[in-house]
Amino acid sequence: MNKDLQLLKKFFRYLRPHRIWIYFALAAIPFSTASALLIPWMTVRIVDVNLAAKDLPGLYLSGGLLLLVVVVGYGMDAFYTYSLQRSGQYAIADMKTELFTHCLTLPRSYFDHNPMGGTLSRMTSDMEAIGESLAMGVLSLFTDLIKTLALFALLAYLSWKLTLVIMVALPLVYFLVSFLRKRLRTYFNQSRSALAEATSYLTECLNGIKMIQLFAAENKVTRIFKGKNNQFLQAQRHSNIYDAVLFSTIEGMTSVTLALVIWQGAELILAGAITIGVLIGFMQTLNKIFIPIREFAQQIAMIQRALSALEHIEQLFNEPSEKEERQGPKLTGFAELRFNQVGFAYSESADPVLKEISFHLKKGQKLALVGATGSGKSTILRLISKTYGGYEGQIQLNGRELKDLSKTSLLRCVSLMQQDVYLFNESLAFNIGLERPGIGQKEIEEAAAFVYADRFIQNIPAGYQHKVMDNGRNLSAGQAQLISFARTIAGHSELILLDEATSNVDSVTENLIQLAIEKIFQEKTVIAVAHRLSTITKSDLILVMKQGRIIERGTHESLTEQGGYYLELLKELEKPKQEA
Amino acid sequence: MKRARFFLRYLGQHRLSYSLGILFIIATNWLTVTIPLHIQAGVDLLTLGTEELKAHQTELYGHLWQIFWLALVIIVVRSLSRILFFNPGRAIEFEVKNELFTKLVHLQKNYYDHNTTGSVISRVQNDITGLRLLCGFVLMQFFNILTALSFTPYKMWTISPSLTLYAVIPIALVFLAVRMGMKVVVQYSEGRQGLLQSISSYIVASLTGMDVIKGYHLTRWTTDRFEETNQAFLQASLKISFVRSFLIPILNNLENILKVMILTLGGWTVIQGEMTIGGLTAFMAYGALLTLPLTGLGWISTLYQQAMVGVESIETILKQETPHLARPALTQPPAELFAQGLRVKNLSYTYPNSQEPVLKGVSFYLRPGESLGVLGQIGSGKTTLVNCLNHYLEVQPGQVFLSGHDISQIPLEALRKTIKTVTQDVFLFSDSLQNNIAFGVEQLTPKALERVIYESALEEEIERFPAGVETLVGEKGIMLSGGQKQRISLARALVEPAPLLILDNVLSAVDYATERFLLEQILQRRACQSLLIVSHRVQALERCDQILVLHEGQIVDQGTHSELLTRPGFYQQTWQLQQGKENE
Repeated sequence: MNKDLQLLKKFFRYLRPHRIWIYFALAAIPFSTASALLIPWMTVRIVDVNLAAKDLPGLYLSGGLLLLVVVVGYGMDAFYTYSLQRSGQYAIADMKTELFTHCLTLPRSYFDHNPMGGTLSRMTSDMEAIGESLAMGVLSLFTDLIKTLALFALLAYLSWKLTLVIMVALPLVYFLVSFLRKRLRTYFNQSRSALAEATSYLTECLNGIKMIQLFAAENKVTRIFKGKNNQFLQAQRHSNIYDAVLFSTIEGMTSVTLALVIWQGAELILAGAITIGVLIGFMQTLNKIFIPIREFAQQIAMIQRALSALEHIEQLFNEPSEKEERQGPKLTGFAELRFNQVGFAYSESADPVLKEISFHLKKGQKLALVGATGSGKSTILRLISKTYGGYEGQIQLNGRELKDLSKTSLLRCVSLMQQDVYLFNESLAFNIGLERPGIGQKEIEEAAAFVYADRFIQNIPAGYQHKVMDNGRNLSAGQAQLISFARTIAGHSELILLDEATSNVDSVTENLIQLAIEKIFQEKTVIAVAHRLSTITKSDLILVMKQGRIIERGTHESLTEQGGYYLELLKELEKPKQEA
Repeated sequence: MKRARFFLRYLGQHRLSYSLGILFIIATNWLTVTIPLHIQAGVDLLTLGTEELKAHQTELYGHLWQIFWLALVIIVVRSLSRILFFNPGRAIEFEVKNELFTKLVHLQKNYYDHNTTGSVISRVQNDITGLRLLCGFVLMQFFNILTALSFTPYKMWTISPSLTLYAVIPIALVFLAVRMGMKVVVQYSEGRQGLLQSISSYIVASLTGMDVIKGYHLTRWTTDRFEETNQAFLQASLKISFVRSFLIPILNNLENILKVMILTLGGWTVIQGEMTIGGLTAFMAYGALLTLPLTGLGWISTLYQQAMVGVESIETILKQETPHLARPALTQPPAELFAQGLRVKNLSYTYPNSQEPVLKGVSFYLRPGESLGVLGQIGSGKTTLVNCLNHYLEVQPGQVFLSGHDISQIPLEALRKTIKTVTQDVFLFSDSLQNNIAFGVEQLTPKALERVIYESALEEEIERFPAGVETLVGEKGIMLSGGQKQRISLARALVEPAPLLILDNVLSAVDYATERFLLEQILQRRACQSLLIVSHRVQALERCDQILVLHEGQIVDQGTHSELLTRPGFYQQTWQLQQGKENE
């Protein structure tokens, strides 16, 4: 409960800036409550005063007033709902933006352990749940409560004896309803887990459809699925029964109470304690009194939903952001990089992916990393670009420990060209320049020309203004590579970390990529995770990696002579990948 | 019309339940409309004055008892009517789901090439909800509304025809307003849904590119863009909130509006002496009875349309053709299907969306009892060849034969009991290790399980697993290495003997010692008569009776290990390269 309050408090922080609408909503409550009270009161009056006295003008006046009351009540209800929803929606929108910004500050390792779908749900479906549940739950719970209390007060004022009859019936109905609801919930939960099980089995079967068919296991899986589906059906059957009984009971209990009210009312009329109008007023109000009982559990469930969504969101907010190191020493250009006995594991419990890695790279040199998938090549690049921290040993850039350098200043001198190119759904020019200071259209075109990307860009009708769609779906894989090359070049970084793509590209673009890499090799200091023979042979130093260790090192010539693991790897690399 | 037939087939199966349901609904509504008559009589007695009332007290209590009993009977009858409609709705959902599943497991590769798992699941999951609602809730509401809206006005008419006619005016107006409002809401909702989707894809895109965004200081820029979409979404949400806030209370107030009208106009007739106060009260009670079915009327049509869209989408699956199920059964037992071996004649294969053939004129003959190795570089067409032989890919007739039967004519089940394939990509169910191994068979004795665990070199690992063979693997289970998965999938194939076992690059992720052990086990051929091994490692193939060298979809060389070693070529080269590694 305490936790719930804290969660709500958090949410109220977002509501604060939009509280004016909450005040409006609160202001509407007295009017709508008054209307709820005036309707039965006027009914009593019309029957007892106007009809009893056969007063036609009085009847018209009362009728007119009643209409006014209904219209005002309607307007106030609508206004109340809208105002609260408005402030809620604004608060949710603010919270969403803040959460999104927060997510962008999370470290890479967070996303290694948390599927992106979950993070997405926090920002979409959980936010939606809050919006809906608050609207349906909190809003009506509050006003329903006020209105019911007020109605009771009115009824008690009209006749407290008759009110007692309702008071006796009410708890009875409440217990009956909550008993049925409890049973219903049991079967509901049963059917929900049965459904989840059937669905996940279906998903698995679809994912493994090839295997199912190759093993001729179609009938076997169908039988298993039918079993799971049947469990769902049985649970549903039970919950249908309780659901039907629950619904009918609530409806029926109103009529039973009605009979009770007339019976007691008759006694009171006989005793001259109440008028016929009061009895009719009571009969007309019964329905309204039962509403909270009918909806209460549902409203509470709605609020629970909102709270659990809020809790999810809060958890994401509490994920620690990546530490941005204090503005460490400024880097002026690249001079040298030294790895000394570096080890690294992605998490404390996992096996190390790098062990005792040592090498030294001077300005202008080219280093190639070769090895099988999973040998740790890309991890070295990720450490240098500070995508991951927490290594053992020393990594020194220009003689300074990498840990002490801020990411910002590091990235000015080091650029990572990743294998999976990320493109924004913006123009090509934007994707190359990325709005960095000092990079205008001229610099963008120069960078594109440097990596031979200008040729294909000029062939696109919109040229540099060509808009990228869906992370580059309207470009070929090779073209996307070239754009990312140009992006790196435009930044004038001196050390380039190149993660060569393994995917096949068409031969024309493949040539351009080769040319671009050659040119980068001529002008920059490069560390490359290399898959192309041409890249490897042009390197000053080749590190052959296996299971996190450097097992061979040297130039292409010396390694070929040795004839070890390197040679075997080459054989694999030369071939085009991707089995059809 | 066609879609209606789809329903009628299912509805017909539950006609008894539905017919009873309809009877109970009629009863419910008839009993419900009789209650206000007793109220009317009761109130009229109460207005007679104290003296008269005392005289009629027993009559009054009679009416009250009637109301009381009616209420109790209605509870029972209404419950029954709902159960009788909802249960067949669920049963139909169950039946259609089973039908869908049966269809889905028999659909072939070309269907799954065009339909993602996500979209199929959404159909089975969400679109069926519409169908269920239609066969349960919507159908019940339809009859409920139909009877309620005929009984109630009829009763009202008997009290006062003119007042009944007047009541039509506010009802019609409210109804029109709500329909129009709903249309606007639906329209806005679609726009809002679109925006929600673009927010989602923007979030996914941004999280994917987080390194780039951070590395190039684009956080601000990215957030600004997000804020733009978020604001548009907010505005769309507010518009909907606005319309809904003013629309929904209209319906809730219909009862009040009727009350105003009945009290004023009805009051006039009471003063004129044309109606009693009891009649007035009963009339108000009827007014309240009208609002619920009227509200329902608004959304059963929406639900109906939704359900129809769902049915259409479900039908796209159910209407898929599975011609392979119609292939004539074989006259001989499946065991004899491999009696004369596998013959491949000039096999070529081109993928549907490509021009370049991946296999070009491949021919070979695999005799029963023989083992055949296929060596080739990555991309040489090895896996495609395997998928043609087990008919995972549609092969044109006249190219692959099993003992003289064209495999494109053999029923799939028989074919796959004859040819068992262990694929490169391993799929494990979220289930125990044991059940994963027993996947292809109905029963697995503990002894057989022990044997395959030994043969696939899993013994040691299973001892280390927390629950032995009961350990959960797959998505929800423990993490397995690539090599472990490969061995489990191998074990799966070794469980039941098959005339031909194909191993497609299965041992790529195990170390050399284990590979040697596994090959030994496989080559003993307890689980098969003939063997086809595909690999890019010579070691895996050297003991085969015959080896094919595949290059760019063609057989460029073929012979035994020793024959191939004597002549220069890809086989010899690979052998030399891999010798060094093996002795490492």
